[in-house]
Amino acid sequence: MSDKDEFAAKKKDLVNTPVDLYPPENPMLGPSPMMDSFRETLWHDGGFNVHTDADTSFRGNNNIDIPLEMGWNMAQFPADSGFIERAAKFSFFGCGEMMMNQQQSSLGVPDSTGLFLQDTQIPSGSKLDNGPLTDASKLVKERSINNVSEDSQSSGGNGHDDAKCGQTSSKGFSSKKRKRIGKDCEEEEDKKQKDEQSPTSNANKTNSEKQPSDSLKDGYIHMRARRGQATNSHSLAERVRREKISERMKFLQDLVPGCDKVTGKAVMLDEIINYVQSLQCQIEFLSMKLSAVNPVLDFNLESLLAKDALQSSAPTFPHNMSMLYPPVSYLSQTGFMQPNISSMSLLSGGLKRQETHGYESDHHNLVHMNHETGTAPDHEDTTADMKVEP
Amino acid sequence: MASADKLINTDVPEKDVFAFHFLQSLSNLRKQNPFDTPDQKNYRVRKIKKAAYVSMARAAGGSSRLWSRALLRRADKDDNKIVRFSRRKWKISSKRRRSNQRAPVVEEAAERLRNLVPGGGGMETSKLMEETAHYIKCLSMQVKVMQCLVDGLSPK
Repeated sequence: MSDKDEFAAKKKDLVNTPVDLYPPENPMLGPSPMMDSFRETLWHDGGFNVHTDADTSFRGNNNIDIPLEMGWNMAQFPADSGFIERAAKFSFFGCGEMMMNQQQSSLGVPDSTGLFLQDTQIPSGSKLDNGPLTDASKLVKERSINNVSEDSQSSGGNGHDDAKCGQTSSKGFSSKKRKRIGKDCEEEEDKKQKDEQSPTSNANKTNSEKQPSDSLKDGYIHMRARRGQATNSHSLAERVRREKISERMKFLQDLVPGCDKVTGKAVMLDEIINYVQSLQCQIEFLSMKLSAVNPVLDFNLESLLAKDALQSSAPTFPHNMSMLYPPVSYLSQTGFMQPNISSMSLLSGGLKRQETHGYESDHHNLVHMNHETGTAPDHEDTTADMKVEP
Repeated sequence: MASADKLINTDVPEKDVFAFHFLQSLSNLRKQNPFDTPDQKNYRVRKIKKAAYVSMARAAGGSSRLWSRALLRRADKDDNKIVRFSRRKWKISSKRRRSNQRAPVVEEAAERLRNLVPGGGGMETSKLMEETAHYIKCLSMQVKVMQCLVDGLSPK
């Protein structure tokens, strides 16, 4: 507290005239918010309540209708009383510095925003006790540069931070840009970096460049090293993605019959699409047929379910079904389905007989015929297309 | 390649599971609306087809797969209002639009595949391939089951 009092005394020496001008008894009469905040911090030093300080400063800022300042104020006074104390202190310094500035330059909106900019900057900084004076001087310089508009002021804070960070961040930016330039420029850039940077940072740089290419070499065998080194991360990700797609395409190729002879991704995809469509059409067609034989299914479904769930379905199916052929009257009702059914049973040949052992191969042969020859299955497909209502 | 095999897991349950689910959904269908007139044939066809797809999705593991999840969700949505069970336009994501610029031929074909596989609209291309593989397996299994039913019920 003694240090702060010292600074307060210094500040009082610097800006003692406004204190005399505006006595603290009537806070709402202050024409300028700078004055208000300055006086409030004096109140606070005299031992007044912190929260009333915050409230009065808020009211004082409402006098000059700038919403930006309200935002600063709200963020500036949190619930922490210690932080409020510090913030009030530094607003005092900022205010005093503002007074100096007021004498030098014209009082306006940019100055007021500069005040609150400084308020938020100082508590975030590491130096709290010995800092304010030097920081204030820095801000004076800054404001003399950025006095033009509010926007330049608010961006001045960022520029200040960047200046604090030094050259490392700028080097990082430039290296990021360099990576995007391309492989032609990269070698020259490397030479330049060798000249610029210290040997340790150069070693780090080369290590970071080597790592992704090495991992890619491990993951993908046919990746060309020279190309991999040259490309950026986007093209590397693109290559990984293409690898994944082709891998799954190979997997699909095994699934879809007649797809293994086809070369080229697009043709293969067409084949896959055709297969999926044909399967969906088959389901539609079969559901049509099932709806035709629906009523008979109604009677024995429960028993069928009970048997089917427990035993293996394939052998029990035909024997169960053979007992429940539809009556003749119903067949006459769905007479148009007859040729379809007969053609299907003809096509599927000994499906029922082979069901126990060779159903899978038989079915695949059927689909194969659908795709390859297109002579006999054409009948089925056309009937399906004719009957199927979308 | 071992990691790739681990990634692509398209194991499909046995045919019994598909048959069980399908027959169950058929019997549920029967309980809900006992058919009466042949005028409602189209309606019945649609119902059976939907039952086939939904039972297939259930047999394939419910919501464990993207396509089955999308199919079940769509079926639930359709249950509220009776509309035809057809493919829907899926919204075009920015990822797809970006990927369209990369390889036009393959992406154009993948686009058509996205319209076929339920829930394919939001998938990345490699994921789409994986889901398609599983979907094809399940579809063929379902076709087999239905074929069995039809063959068993069809007159000699």
